[in-house]
Amino acid sequence: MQLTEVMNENLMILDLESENKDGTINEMINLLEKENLLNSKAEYLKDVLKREKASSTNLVEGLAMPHAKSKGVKNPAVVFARSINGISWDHEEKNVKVVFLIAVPEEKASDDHLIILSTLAKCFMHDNFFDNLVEAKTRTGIINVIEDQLNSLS
Amino acid sequence: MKLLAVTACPSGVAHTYMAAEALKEAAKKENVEIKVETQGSIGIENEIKSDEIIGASAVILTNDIGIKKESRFKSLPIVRVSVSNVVKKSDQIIKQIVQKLDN
Repeated sequence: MQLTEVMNENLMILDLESENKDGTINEMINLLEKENLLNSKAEYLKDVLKREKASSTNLVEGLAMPHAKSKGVKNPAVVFARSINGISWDHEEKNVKVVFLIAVPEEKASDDHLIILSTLAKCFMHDNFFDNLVEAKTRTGIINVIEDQLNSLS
Repeated sequence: MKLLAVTACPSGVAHTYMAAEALKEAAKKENVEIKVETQGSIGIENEIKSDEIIGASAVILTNDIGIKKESRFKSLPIVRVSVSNVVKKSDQIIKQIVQKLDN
């Protein structure tokens, strides 16, 4: 499976309007709904917030990765969002600049999408990945940064 | 010195794999060999076999959810850490284990 099967240039926000976690997640979920990737926006949102409440997904400096396996998801997808000035996640401090929202359907015939998502998760542990995402100028640039990092892992 | 690790997390989508990658990167920095098994939504990957357990110095297990087939590690010192701490502090964790084993 290719990255482009779960991610595309319509599923990106290059500069978020929101300045906090809830607003950001909402902005990102709206894109999934617009692209017809959800069965139920409310159900997916509920599952994402539940997961986030269990333990924060902002584990790596500057980066958060809200995610949920949910009945509200029709097709697997990843939304990318970036904030130039930073957003507040768990604290008032506006320290998160890159967010990946991961949507995984409850039931799916194949594991292909899980393999690409797990590899994407590994990318976050490489320091230059974050910097390259912050510096990318265009949507295509962001896809290129992610593909380069995925290729360097496999 | 060779270390082993098994990572797992409740949803099995992301942190399992981030933790595995974090441990591999940290071990590389310390010049230690490590094999990391992931127990995530894809199932068990990079499974640790019994002959690999014999030659190992210690095993790191994440403790957020149960580890499958944990009993195979009973001959080894076990270090239990939460998956989020592994992601955040893998360098420290590996360093401490190496120091402890060296003494």
